[in-house]
Amino acid sequence: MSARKPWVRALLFASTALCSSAAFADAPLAAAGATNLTFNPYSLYTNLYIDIDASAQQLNVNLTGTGGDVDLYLRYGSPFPDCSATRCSDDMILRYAQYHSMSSSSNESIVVTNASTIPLKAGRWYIAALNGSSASATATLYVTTSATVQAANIQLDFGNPRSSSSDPKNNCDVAPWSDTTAATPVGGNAGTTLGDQRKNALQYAVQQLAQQIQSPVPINVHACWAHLGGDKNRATLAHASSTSFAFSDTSFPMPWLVKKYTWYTNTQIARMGGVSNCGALGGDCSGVRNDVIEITFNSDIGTPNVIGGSPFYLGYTAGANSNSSDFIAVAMHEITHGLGFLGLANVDPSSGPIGARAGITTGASSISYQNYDQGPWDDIFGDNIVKVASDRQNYTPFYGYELTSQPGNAARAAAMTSGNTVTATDLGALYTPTLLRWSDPLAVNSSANQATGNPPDNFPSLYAPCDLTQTATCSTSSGSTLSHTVQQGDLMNAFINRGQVRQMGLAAPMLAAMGWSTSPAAAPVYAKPFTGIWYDRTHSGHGIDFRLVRHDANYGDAYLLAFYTYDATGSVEIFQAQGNIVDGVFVPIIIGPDDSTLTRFQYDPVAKTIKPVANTGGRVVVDFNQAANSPACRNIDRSAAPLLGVMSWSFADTTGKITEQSDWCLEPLTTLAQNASPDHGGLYYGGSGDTGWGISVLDINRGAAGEQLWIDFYYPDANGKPIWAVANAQPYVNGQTIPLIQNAAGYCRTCKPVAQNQVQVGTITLNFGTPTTATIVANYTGGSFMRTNVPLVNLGVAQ
Amino acid sequence: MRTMLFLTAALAANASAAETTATPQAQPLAEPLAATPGIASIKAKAESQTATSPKIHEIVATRNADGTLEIGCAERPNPTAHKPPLNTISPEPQQ
Repeated sequence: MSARKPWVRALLFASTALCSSAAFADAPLAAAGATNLTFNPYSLYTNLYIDIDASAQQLNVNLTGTGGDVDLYLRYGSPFPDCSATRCSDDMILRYAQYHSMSSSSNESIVVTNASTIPLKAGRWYIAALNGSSASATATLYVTTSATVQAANIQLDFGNPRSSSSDPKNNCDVAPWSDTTAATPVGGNAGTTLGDQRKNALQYAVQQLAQQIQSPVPINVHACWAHLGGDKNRATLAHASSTSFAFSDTSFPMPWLVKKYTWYTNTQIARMGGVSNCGALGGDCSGVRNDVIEITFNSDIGTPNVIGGSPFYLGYTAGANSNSSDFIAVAMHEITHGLGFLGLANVDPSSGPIGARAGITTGASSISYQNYDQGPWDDIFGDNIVKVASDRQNYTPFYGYELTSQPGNAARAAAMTSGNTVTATDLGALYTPTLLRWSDPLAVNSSANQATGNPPDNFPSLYAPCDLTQTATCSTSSGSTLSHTVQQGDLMNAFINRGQVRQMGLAAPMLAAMGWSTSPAAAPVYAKPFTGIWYDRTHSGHGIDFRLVRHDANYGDAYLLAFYTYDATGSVEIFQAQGNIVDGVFVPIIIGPDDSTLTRFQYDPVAKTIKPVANTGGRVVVDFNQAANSPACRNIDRSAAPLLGVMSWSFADTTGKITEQSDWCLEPLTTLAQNASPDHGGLYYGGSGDTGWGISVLDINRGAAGEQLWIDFYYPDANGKPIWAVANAQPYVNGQTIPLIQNAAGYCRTCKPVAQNQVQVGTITLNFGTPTTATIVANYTGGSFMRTNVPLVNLGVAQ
Repeated sequence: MRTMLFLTAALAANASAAETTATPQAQPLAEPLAATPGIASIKAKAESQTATSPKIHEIVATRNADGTLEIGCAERPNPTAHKPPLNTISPEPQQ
């Protein structure tokens, strides 16, 4: 076993064990049975691992436990933190994980296949198991592999009834599934009671879907009936929906979702994550809690006063005539909506602007289209749609890069009502192409696609006319628009009585683009952040000094993060973090005695060293992946930035209550290509005997304007609190003395920006050479920090 | 001692659809977990970015004069997804 290398013992940072590449030298243990794990309260195992060979196409990781709340985490290729050497939190483990299952029980399961977002590949897969409960637990870990992908079923939940006296249409009556009324077998359905025929027909419907989607995890559907009413001319046959939507962001990452900051149905989340709904999002897995779709049939169908007593046709094979309703086609169509075949853009004028993307009002459990205070976010269905120009020569994304103010609402509304008017008495235009098209190549190139020609002519149209029965005001009632196709005979056509549909048709490749693909997937590509000053242009004056200090192939490159900012009074202050880049995310380690990851240090002028203070309650994470999708990056136009990162930071009081928090959108002040050559950039300090202060240098080639030296200088004030100043010289000449500047009137992190009031607080002189030296005079209230010609040590390393 | 367990999973040589079970034998030790922010807090974060579906899809049958049915699907607001209270701007104080 190799000794750990503490990697930073100086500067403003305390000596802290960190994830180090030298950490793993353990010999593998021999195999002899399932792995039994015993957990104390709040304990975890990290870096259990399995080596997979190239023949494996599916990996199943199952945990069966008793007591406590044991959760399961999985990642490929590089280990979880070594928690025997560094303090680990559940938050940290979650951020290392590429897959997780974290229900409220100790029974968890994850399935990874070659088609998963982070696909099964030969090599080492690491497993962590964490008991987050105050109770002890025992568990058994089973890991199996298979050379083929094994499809699971769509499972029907015929139980868990629900009744509401105030809203009986929202009941879930399960009695019709056991109706004993005698029935004659029909169309291959051998049931001899009405209840059995209904169950058989629904079972047949989900079997058809299951065979076509080939999900490796079961999809649970709650099957209900309710008195949905109707009259002699019109009635609802059934309705359905996925039970919830969610998205992945910096607060709660689900890395298996291809697009971050984007709504997915819980069916897609379960499918892509190889996990149950409760495993993905937490909570109780029992009963209806794990049903991801609910379908409700109208128990009034077939009664004399409802559409002439026309019943459901329950046969498997052809036989439904034009005055009965094909139960199986209805079920397949509705459940396919629940699988994710629906767009979230608003079509209900009473809920907000037509075309609006979906946000959340804090504390609410439902989506809002106006007056939300989080979001809005794209949804994965809408991300595959384009708006075709009226001359059909070009097209633009339905969502695209759009600011929070949603300037695209009107254009989306126009596209969603771009088809011909369809009325209850004039159905001639049902199949007319619209300007609302599906652009993903899986569907465009599918044999199921009937559209031909060059793009966008060959993009399948989505249904976009007025409502079926309302002729006048598409803008106020768009009915079936957006979430249906127009191809005749499609399962997901807005009008499904044109044949007894049993094939998903175009819906299959459309769903494949939204997480249901069974084709081998390519490994994801993660963002690669780099050394520099990063700032949010809507919080200019604050920022982070982000410095690579060690390359690490195992745990990800190690960075120091200095958050230079202002306190509530507008005075300069600094917090710091250190961590690793894990799959494009800066994941900090715990460095504060209060388990904080974003911590202030206190300087001891006698010992010339520092230690973290006990009560910042600070947390930080910076996610550089797909940040442009995040609401934080859409408050103003940042489309020209070379890379963006969402920095989620917070501070808490000693009780753990969050006192301030925000998501900031960071972009680099300069790029690596702008660095001078030779590059004097680095992170300098006074060596092991003189810690607690430091100099961060950016050395920039400004071409004919000369070399620019940008310095962030960190030093303690009279009370030992770290503060900061900057220095800037252009053109810079080695050895020149540069004024140290400080903003005497900053603004707090949650305040509106104010004009800067820059004052000189001293000077700094750097001589780059062997050794590099510094002479510094930096004033603070009540004194000065001074060094004269001290040799410097550079902690920074080249990118 | 570092906690590391090696799980082997020798795939069956003729594993067309064969499934094998990894069988590690050692008993590793669990490491203590930092108490904060706490698993409950993490799971609460998941709840904060999960929302009830705002929409349902509804199959509607319309009976023609000749007794045949037109069957179409339309999107409707989900009656079980309560709309959150609107954020309102307080009116200017009255003089």
